[in-house]
Amino acid sequence: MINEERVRELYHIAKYDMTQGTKNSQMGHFYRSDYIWKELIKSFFTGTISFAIIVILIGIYYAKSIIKAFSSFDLEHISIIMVIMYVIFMIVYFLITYVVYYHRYTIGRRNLKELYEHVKRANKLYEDEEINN
Amino acid sequence: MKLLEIRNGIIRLCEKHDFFLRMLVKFVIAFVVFFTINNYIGYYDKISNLPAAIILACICSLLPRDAIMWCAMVVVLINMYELSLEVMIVTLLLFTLFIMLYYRFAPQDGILVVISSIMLKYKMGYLVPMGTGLLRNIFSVIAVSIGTLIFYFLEGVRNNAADLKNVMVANSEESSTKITVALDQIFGNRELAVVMIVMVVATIVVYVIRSRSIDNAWEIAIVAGAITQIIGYIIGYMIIGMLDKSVEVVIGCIVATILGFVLKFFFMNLDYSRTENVQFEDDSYYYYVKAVPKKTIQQQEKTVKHFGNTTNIGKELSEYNKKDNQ
Repeated sequence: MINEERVRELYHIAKYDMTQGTKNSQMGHFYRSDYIWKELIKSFFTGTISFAIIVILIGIYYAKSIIKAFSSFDLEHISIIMVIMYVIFMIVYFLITYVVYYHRYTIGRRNLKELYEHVKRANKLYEDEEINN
Repeated sequence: MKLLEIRNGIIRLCEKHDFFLRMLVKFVIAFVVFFTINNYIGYYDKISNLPAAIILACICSLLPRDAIMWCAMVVVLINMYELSLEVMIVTLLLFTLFIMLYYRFAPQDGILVVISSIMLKYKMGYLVPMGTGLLRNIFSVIAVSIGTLIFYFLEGVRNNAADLKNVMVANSEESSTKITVALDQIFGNRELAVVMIVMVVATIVVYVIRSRSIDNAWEIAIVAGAITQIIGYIIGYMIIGMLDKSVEVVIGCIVATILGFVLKFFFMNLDYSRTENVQFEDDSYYYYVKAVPKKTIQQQEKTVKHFGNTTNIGKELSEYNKKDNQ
């Protein structure tokens, strides 16, 4: 006979696997700090590439005026401005990464806890059935 | 009442055929996307035809939702390559920026970028802030902005396609000119700036009002969103000298309002006349709860009338078997 309570628990487990299984799998393997660090390292690369792309696009768009005025450029001054802009860009990008993944980790861990509760209950029901048999 | 019955019927039908409906919706969206790309910027003949669009749509209907966005990106890049290598590079850089700065954090909004672009193509951009503000969260406004940016970039490329294609042998100066022409569609496009600002403001207005705890929040949000768009577009177009679009704006906003009410009917049909305000407390907090019941109708009870001999109705098969054995 079908054990309805067990089917209910198994349904919750299967639903979690289908919808959030892969997305939340990392929350079970990493501490919060490790998880966020991992994402921040990824952000370092993606942020740097993004900044480079933005600079390249703007540079190409204003290429003619840049070439015309190139001789009068104070390269040292421009380099410092670029570095400052890069640092500001990266700080903002890191902040967004931190907030997004901190929040995501909190929700992921909560969902994972709920999943463990369902798994525990399903196991208990299996054990009870074995004892009764 | 009849409308509520129809709504419940539609919802039940969707729940019943969920799997096939999802596939069908994905197919329709994907087909519209590829068909539009083919007709709009289909420079590469081998993939810019109806069979290719149908095949791609079929493939996308079997894959996860984001596949539509990835396939659309690839198709656009191929078409841009056929037009000019430089334009393809700029497009690729723009897509990479979008993926790294936004898609990484909110992959669920990828499809919204595609839908925004397609809606703008068919002059239905006024519906986007309404749908996004009512059904998505506030961060989706970034996806709407990116969709708008991509559409106006591609439109600009299309309008300058002849110039971009004519230079067959590109030396370094011509290459630079081509890239500048392509980038000018973003940096020098005043209409893009107006549309993007109005869309962002309207989406935020709709989202903020509909998430307030006030009676008829959704209705107020829909009307406020439409008015924001009308005022925003008319002022914007007045500044850039495109007032001839005013009629289109008004008609578009009326259609957007109708869509808003249709969405409200399906997703937030509340009965404010039965609102309950309750207060209770526990050890740490006082709770002020406002509960607004949904408009629902009770399922019609079916009565079955029996005519003639009804003595055997409802008896289990086992009873017949017993009789047979006896």
